[in-house]
Amino acid sequence: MGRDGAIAVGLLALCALLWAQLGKVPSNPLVPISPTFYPKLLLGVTAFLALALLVADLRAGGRRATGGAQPGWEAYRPAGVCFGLSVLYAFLLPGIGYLAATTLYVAGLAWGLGPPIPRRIPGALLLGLATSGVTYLIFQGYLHVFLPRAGWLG
Amino acid sequence: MLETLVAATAALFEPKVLLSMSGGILAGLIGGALPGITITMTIILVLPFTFGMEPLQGLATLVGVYVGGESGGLVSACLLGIPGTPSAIATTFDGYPMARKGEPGRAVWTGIWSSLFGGLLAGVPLIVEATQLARLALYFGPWEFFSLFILTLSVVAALTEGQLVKGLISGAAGLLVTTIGADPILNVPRMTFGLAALQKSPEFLAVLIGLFSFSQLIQELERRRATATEAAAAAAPSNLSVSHVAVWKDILSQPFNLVWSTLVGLWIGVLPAVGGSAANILAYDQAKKFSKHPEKFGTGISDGIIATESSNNANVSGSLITMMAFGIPGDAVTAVMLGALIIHGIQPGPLFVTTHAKVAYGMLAAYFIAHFITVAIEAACLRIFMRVIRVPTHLLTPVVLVFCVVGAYGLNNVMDTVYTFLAFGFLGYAMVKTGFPLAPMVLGVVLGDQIETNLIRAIMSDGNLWLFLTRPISGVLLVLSVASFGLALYQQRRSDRRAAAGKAPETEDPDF
Repeated sequence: MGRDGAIAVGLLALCALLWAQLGKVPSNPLVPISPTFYPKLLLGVTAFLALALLVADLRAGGRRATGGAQPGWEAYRPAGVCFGLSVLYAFLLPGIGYLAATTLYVAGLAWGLGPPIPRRIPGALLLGLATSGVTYLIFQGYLHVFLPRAGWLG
Repeated sequence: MLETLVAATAALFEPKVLLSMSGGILAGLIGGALPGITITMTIILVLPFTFGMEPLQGLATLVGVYVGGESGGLVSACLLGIPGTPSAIATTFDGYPMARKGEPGRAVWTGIWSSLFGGLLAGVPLIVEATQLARLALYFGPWEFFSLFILTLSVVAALTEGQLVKGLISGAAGLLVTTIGADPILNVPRMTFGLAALQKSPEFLAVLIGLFSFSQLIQELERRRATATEAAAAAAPSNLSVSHVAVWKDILSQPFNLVWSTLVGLWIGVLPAVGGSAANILAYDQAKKFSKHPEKFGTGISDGIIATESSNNANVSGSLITMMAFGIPGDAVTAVMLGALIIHGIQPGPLFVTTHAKVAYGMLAAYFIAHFITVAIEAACLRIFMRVIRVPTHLLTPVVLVFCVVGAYGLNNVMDTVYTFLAFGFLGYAMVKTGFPLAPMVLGVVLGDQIETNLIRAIMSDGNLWLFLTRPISGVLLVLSVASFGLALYQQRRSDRRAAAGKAPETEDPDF
């Protein structure tokens, strides 16, 4: 089984899980169409399509999905850095507030995505400070888009 | 109609509106000129700035980004040989050779003036069709709307040649996303897993921003194009002086090329989820086929630039027609604009033009005015764009992502939307990496609620399912859906045969 087959199996499992979730939705006797009618229809269609993908993958012997040279882990470094730091940022935002979290996030990304050499750290920090300061002034100060405050500030 | 248009136009000339629209155009021009930052990304960046604005001001700003972005892409296409946006790909074919032959000013300004002419020509049907189609859509019942949305999804599936099943799964996944949380009829929570955060459906714009931002930015970083861009920017010509009279004469001496390319762009724009990238390549191909000297295409002649640049600006008009008349996004940019309408308390759809006439006509007027401001800004700032292009991608990406987070957070001022943005950012990237097209999913997310609402309304008002086929408009739309699906199946088989014969499939990705 190739990559597409594995995705199809995952999709089938997800459809089953969501179908089970729909069993918990109460029905209203006054309304002829249950709120689960449409999602169940979609889950049925998705499961059918996942099956079609699985069959196509098995028939192709997983060739199309996995054929050719696969890129090494180094190729996924930007994705790893972006997602890793973004998740960290999302968890830091409510804790230490927009200004501090954004400074660290931008500095970390600017340093992590470029050549990782120590002499770039001050430049990355400067970019972080400038980005957080300018965006804070524009959004919070001028456009009244309220940004996350640090939890300890109340 | 004329009175409303005049009043809306006058409102656009208020200093604060004109200023924010010009800011949007400038952002669009810079974003369009930056390889790796698409117009979609730029409009996502500008979106949070519009949260605190009046609806007309905010939407005029976004229209400005859209128009400016389409024109901005040609700058790097002509001077660097790297298209700033996918809608300027074919501009490089003749724009770059012309610049290298020692006529960079002529290359850029042929593109700029062609964008203006194409955009203005396509603006006439925008005013006529958007209002007429919106009136026609008033006669639609739930059966017709349901069938129209199904047709839209099937057209997008038909465009994912060689990936039909994946395209359909992507569309179904988009529709499923909208079923999480409260149902639109009875407000009953579904598939919540007992989590409070899932009691409401995922915020539509947070989903969209996530799907687009990470997939586009990370792919650009992975391509490591930044180095090539910086080197090309450093070597780009700086003298862009040209005789504008000669450029005008050149463009206007090719009326068929200009008008036909405009029509091609307009038509492609009207089709859902097919944007400027398809329009400019198709227009270039058409111009070459109709030309008396096709062998000169690609050597740096103005014909190719006129075709591509008039078509991609006309494409903006086509996309706006579909969005304003039916509430269906013509491309990714209008999908974000639909979200912006909702943020400003406006329900997109056929009633939009009649119930929010001032905003709707203001958008039409903004489309025209934006074209003139675009030319003015380009005349003043072309050299500045060349400096901005030199900013490395690894420095731009963090700043762009911060704007995305602010945009997501600003929707409701809760962290849940940021988590939604991140989750769908990861999903979008994973989908791109595993060959699942994003366009059907985005369209599914955009149309999901409306499909469900119209399906349930239709069945509740009359249980006879045959009505979907026997009502004339609905029937025609469903037949077209089946035809579109049949075409997709045919393309899939052709693609499979080509793959079996060892040839690469000809894939035309939708513009999301």
